Amino acid sequence: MQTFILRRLMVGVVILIFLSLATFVLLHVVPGDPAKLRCGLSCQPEQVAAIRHQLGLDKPLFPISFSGSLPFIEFGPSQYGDWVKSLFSGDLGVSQYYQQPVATALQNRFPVTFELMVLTLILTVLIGVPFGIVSAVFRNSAVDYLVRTTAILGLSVPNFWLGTLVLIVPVAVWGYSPPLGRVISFSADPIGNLKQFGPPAAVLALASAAGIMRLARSSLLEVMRQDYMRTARAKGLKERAVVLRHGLKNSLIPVVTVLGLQVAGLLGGAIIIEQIFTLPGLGQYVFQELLYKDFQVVQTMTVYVGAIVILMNLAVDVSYAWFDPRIRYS
Amino acid sequence: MAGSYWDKFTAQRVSRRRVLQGAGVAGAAAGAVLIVGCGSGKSSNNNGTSTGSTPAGGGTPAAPTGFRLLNNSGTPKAGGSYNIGTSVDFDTFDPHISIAGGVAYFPRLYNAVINRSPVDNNFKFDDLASSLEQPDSTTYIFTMRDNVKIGPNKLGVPERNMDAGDIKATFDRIKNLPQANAYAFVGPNIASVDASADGKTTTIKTPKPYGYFFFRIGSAINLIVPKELIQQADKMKSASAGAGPYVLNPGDYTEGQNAKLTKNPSYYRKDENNNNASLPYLDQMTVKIIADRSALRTAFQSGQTEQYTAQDVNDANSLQQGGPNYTVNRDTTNTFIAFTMNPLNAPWKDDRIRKAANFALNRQEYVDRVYAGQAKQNGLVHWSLGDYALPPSELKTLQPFDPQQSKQLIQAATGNSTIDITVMWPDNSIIEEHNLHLPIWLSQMQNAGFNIKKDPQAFATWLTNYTNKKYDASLALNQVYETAEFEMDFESKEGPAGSNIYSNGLGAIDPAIEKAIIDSKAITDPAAQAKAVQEAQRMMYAKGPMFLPLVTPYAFTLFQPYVHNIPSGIGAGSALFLNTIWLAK
Repeated sequence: MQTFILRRLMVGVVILIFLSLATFVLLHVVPGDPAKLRCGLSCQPEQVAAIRHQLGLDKPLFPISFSGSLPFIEFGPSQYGDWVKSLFSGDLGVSQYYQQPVATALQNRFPVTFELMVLTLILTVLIGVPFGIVSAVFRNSAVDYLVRTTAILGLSVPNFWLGTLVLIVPVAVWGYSPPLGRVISFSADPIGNLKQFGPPAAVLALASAAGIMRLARSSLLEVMRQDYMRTARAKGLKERAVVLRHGLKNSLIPVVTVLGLQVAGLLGGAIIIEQIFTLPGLGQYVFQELLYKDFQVVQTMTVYVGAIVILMNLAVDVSYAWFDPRIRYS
Repeated sequence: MAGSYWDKFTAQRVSRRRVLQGAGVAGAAAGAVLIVGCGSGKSSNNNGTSTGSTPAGGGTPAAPTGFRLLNNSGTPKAGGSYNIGTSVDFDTFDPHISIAGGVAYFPRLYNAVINRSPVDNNFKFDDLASSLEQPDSTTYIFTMRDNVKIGPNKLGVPERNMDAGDIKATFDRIKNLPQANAYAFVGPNIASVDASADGKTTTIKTPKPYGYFFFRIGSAINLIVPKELIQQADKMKSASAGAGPYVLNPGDYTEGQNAKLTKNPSYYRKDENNNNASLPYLDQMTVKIIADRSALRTAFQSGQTEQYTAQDVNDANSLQQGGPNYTVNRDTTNTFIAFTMNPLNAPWKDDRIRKAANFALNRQEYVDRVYAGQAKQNGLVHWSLGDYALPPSELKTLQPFDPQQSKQLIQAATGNSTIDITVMWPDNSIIEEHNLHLPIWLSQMQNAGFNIKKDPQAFATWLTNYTNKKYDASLALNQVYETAEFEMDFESKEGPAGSNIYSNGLGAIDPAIEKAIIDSKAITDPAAQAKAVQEAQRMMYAKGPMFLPLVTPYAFTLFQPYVHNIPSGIGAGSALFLNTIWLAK
């Protein structure tokens, strides 16, 4: 198991190096000069030059350059080199937009996104798995059709549209809206916190719960056809015990796999939902900085999200062994 | 001063016009705002509270007729917290380099030397200066007000009176700071700033007469910062210390959430209409960062904010239907979408083709379809700049909607009734108005004989091409011009701010027009300058204008019924300096 984890981590590092290079190159290939974007209409060339220098955009892209004389290769300061150094040192520089240290901003905003993700995943599991079981157990019944139709609806409705509706309908009908423009911490006011994070988490969870529900249903149906399930019934176990104790655990492997992958998707969805519900999390931060072509922040966040996805995948793979003891890593 | 396209881009679908409009009327301060005639140096106590006020709530507000306070009934009451939602987050609270949301709040924190409203020349707000002497057309001697005291703060700036040294330190800083927003103004237009030894007099000299001096010097990007704070400018990023009506203490700005401005108990202005009560009335102003428009609207409807700038008149009307008795402020704006031609490139180098474009456009269609009638047609200078713009009656003859004449001009120039043109614009614009203008514009031009080769570009590409003048023609995003200078500059040889970017104006091909533009800048009497600007426009029409601002709309800001003394009619930029609002709750 240790060898397996170590090998996966090493592969992860290689992936991250490629990811960092790809992100760096792609962002710099896209047309548009951040210094010009930052400058106003009446911006003079020396203003642009000053901003370019301030942002380090006047340095070469990569630390290696080629020359016509020996030793033909020169190493020097570069934008990529500076950025990679900053990733390791933790000094991520200053945001072009906010003019504040990026590390501090990430530190402040991470808890918001983290809570949103955790709440979303909890809701996803709480909604998706039980309804998947119900749907499988009562296959082809009215309940099954109702659950499946709802799931298709959940998958079809775009979350930005649903999020907007969740904001504008209650205020139009009851004059109510979730708190906006400030973050209520869970420790200070748990109810207020849930009022604030509940609606966006529910919106994000709807689509993922629908997917999980469908997957849990099909997986459970598959498992319920297995011989050992028949054996369990034959030895006189109640149907409830057959489904929950023998069927459910074995049917959860694909569900866990998808849940792990959904974390990355949810981080993407959070960009929009945090905007709509005014939650100052990482998604909103990246969105703002992306508009501003703040290379440093966007590159850093891409690599961090990449790292999270790699770690989540690893965690999912490792968890298989718990769900199915027959699985061994060697 | 002009806002940049980038201001708009970063605003996430909310124009700077809205930023200013949204914040502009929200401050609290003098029911008895002291308005001083700068030019004469004489003071008057015209606080404007009794002129043309509009009753609270409901109905269509009257057209602007100068400065007035909306919902001005009752005796002002001190206290309370005022909440504003803004879609534009703060970048830095350094007033000289911020280009984002902070711009709309700096007049709450710092002082100007003086401010003059670009939409109402009668409105002059003397702030640090109590009087002005102009011995010649390039010298401005300001006498400092002697009671503008820096408020209690946590940045270690002494609580002393602001003096001439602060003005000198501020302009010296801007002059040596290329990334400062006002660098383009201060560099070429301010020759020297001298402070008298006693700190009571500031002498500013311009290299040559400059007619837009007062508008520029009083803008929100030229605010005066205490010299001690300039020495430690890093502290300005997230806090303030000054003599403005409010102070932002360290820790009161939470990135991505809100900024809490606290009343400055030392603020010097009093409400003369209310027994010289201390101003501002509000204890706190909280600016909430609410990025999404639906969320902004929701926050207002649910009472989490006290004001909301509607998307348009229909949005304002729908909020009023069945809602509380909101007060609506319909105010002028300085924004428009413009069509820019490059007169050095074919086919636009032919005067007749430029004129054909001018006749092709039915500006009233934009007024009706984009703004539901709540806008007006522009000439070459937008209408809300008053006397600087040509009157509608004259525009009817100078820019009639006449597609047949367009075709005749094209025929005369090319021998064909149609002509192929390439036009770029920023694709997938996040500015709603642009997306609404585009199809109308394409249809109008097509009907007048222009076969358009569409060249939509990613925003950054478009901006790069625009600034490098690599285009034949462009439909430009809406822009914010608070004076006629930039519109005139577009038609000049060197483009806006003389920086040789954005446009090759008519000045490049017609020395007489170039001279008229340059001469108009040097006229310091507003009435005479307005006449000169009008005359320059007539010359441009005769030559075939290359920069066509289409229409400029009104802005609609709604206030909760308990918000009183809302400044209106002077333009959002000037309203930022007033702190008249109080809350009846």
